[in-house]
This record gives sequence, structure tokens and C-alpha cells, in this order.
Amino acid sequence: MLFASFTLLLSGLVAQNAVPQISPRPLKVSSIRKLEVPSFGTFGLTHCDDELSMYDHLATGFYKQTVILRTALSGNESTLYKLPDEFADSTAFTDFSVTPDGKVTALVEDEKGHSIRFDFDAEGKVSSHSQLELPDQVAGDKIAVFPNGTMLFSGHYRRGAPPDVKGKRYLGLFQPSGKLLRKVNESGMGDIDLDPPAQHIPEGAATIGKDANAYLLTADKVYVISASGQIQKKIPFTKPDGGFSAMAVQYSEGLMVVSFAKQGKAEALFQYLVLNASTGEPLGLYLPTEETGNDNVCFSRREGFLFITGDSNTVNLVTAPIR
Amino acid sequence: MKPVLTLLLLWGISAWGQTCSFTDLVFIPTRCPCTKAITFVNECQGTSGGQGCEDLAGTNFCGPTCAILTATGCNPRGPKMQVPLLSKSLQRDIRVSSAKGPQLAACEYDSEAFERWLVKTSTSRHVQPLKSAGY
Repeated sequence: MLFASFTLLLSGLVAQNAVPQISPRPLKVSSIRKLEVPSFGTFGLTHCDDELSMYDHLATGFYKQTVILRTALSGNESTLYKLPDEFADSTAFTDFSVTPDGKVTALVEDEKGHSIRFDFDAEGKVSSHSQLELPDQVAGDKIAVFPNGTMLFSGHYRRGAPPDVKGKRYLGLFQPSGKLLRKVNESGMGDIDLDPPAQHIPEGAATIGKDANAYLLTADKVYVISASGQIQKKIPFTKPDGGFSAMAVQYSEGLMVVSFAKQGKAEALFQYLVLNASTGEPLGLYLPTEETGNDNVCFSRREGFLFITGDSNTVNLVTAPIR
Repeated sequence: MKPVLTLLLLWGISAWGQTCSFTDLVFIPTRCPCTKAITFVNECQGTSGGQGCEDLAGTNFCGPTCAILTATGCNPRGPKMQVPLLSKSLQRDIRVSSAKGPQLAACEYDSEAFERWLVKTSTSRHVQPLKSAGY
């Protein structure tokens, strides 16, 4: 009886963890709209708010410079978020976060290695800034800021840290003042590889959903974390193959997209896994096409995937619904 | 060409005391303004505790343990250029720098059009030119 119960429990656990592998389908374009926006380069991936405004770390030529640009979906409105002059040259960009209603927060590092958050108002001016109360030798990786201003910080201990913590992940919730609200249990999330192989696309990302939860992406799971720091859910997923890195997560109205990327021989290859954010059920795996390009900027349940395509003179917004 | 290389090598030597580590060199997605394609390029992540990575004329330069000089394929000022600085500790960087991507061609890019659009569409009351930010 005991054995039968154990077997049943074990099979249940296996069923929970075994994520079915699904075949990828090419996306089909439903519309292409020319945006009256000039070309510009970006670092990192685009963030979106609920209005599908796009937020980019502008490629100024220097990755360390923190200049965020919001482009409205119409292309007729923009906002520039820049650090005050006294911080602009002495800090280095780490990450930025956009809430569903469009509040922007940037995380930067100063010359002493301190992590500093800058919160911006709707006009792009800094409304507040604070230094995070972090342990020594912790560097920032990804952030997600809840609508109440609390920040989920995901970082790691640098290589200069004591051997027992070097490369360990550090996860915490921080108040807008920079004060640590609480540490978040990071067990099972894996350490950070401080010596990744050449051309390894870093795994991980974070975003905030309209449901006021943070979605923290790791190499094999998405952790759904509440504003109080509780891990509500762990959603495992299966990569298309071992060469892919899980490098972006998007959320829209109960759907979640995990973007996988790997460096191909000639170009970067992407696949997008759509999951039910409540149950974790995989709903579809999609491939970008020549028509969509590979710059997936937004995802919405109603519209599907939005891509940017074009050349030196044109910027097109391409829509590819999920099917 | 020779003076440029000499300058680069001198720059590398002057940065010898820095302690930039491999993790400071990140392989990040970048949107090329000319093709709108996402390509992955190596960038120095930042000051890394105030040590290591320095910018050099639109490119990023890391110290000896991750010494690599690279302009991104999306650098509006010109084509991608990767010049590994010779050192025994650079095997990884050389492997990285020997990778060829499809979007390495020179990119003609109108930064003035971008500035004009920014001024026209900005919701901010006072938009300053991005040129001050090195754009």
C-alpha cells in the first residue's frame, strides 16, 4: 500500500515536471504598418507597457550609458529617460523595468560597484533615486518593479566574493528607498556561471504582469513572485533544444511567452513558447519568419506578436497573431 | 593603420592593471538600425565595481583578462571591427572575436533625422539633443 502510494506520488511529480515537447510553427503575418519613426539602434530587448508603447535601451555607442526611449505604438510620441548629468558618466547601465502602466525604473552601478535605482516620471525626469542595501560583492542582473514601487532584484555574487558565495544568485525585494524589504528564496534557481562559454547567450529575464506578479525567468523555469516576495508558482518549460538560452519573458492577460535564442552559423535563431500563465500549459511554439524578422518587441493576447522590420529608411510594425 | 594599432596596444598596456573579468563582457542582443535585425554582440557590461571596462571612441574596451576591442555591428559610426589584443589570457576573446556575423556591413545612418523626430514627438518639455550622450 505504502509502495503504491509512493509510486502514485512519484508519477504525479514526474507528470508535473515532464513538459511535453511541441513542434514549432512559423508565425503568419496579419498586418504590416509603416511607422513614421526614424531608424535607431538598441541594446537588449524591447520592453512594452499595456498600451504597447515600446521602451528601448538606446544604442548610443556605449552600452554603459543609460538612455531609455519610449516610442508610442503610433510612432507619433516619444519620451526620453536620461540620468542627471552628475550620474550619467559615472554610472553603468545594468537593467531597466517598465510597469504595465508605463512607469520606468533603471538600475545602474556606480564606480564603487553600488547598485542605484532611478525612478522616472511620465515626462522622463528622474523622480527619485536610491542606493540598494545590498551585501558586498553583489552585482545586479535583472530587475522587475511592481506597481507599488517595490523592486524585485536578481543579482549574483561577483568573482571577487568569498569562494562559498561566488557566483551564487541573490534575490531580494527592495523598497523605493533602497531598503531591503526581504530576501526571496532563490533555492533551485541555479548559480550564475561566471565563466560562460564563448558566445553563450545569457539566460534569464524578468517582467511585471498586469496581475501584479513578477515573472522571473531562469534557464528552465519561470518563477511567479508576488509583491510580498512569495513564490506563487514555478512554471517549468522545455527548451526546443539544449543549444537555446531562455532569454526573455513577456506577459499579457494570462498568457506568458518565453523567448529562446541561440547563435546560428549565420544569424541568431529564435523560438517563442506561449504558455498559460495560470496552469503552465504550453499552448504553442512559434518560429519567426523572413517576413516577421527576429525583433519581437511586444506580445499581447489580443494582437499576438509585434515585430519591428525595415531597413535604413523605414520602420515597420509587423503583427503576427497566435493561432 | 600602424599608428592606430600602436595606439590600441598602448591603450591595452595602460589598462593592464585593471581587473575586468569575463563576466563583464556580455553577449547581448542588439538591434541594428539598418536591418532591424537582432544580432548578438559582445559589450563590456560596465564599470564592474569601478574597475575594468572603459569606452574608447565609440567602442568598448576591457582590461587584460577580457581584453577585446569591439565596435558593435550596429554602431552608427561604421562597420564592425574586432581587434583582439594579443595576450595569453585572450584565448576566449579571440575565439569570440573570430566569429563572423551577417550584419557586419557599414551602416549609413541618419542621426539628425532621429534628433528631429525626437524633438517633434517628445512628451518632455525640454528635450536636449542626444549628442551630449554620445549618440
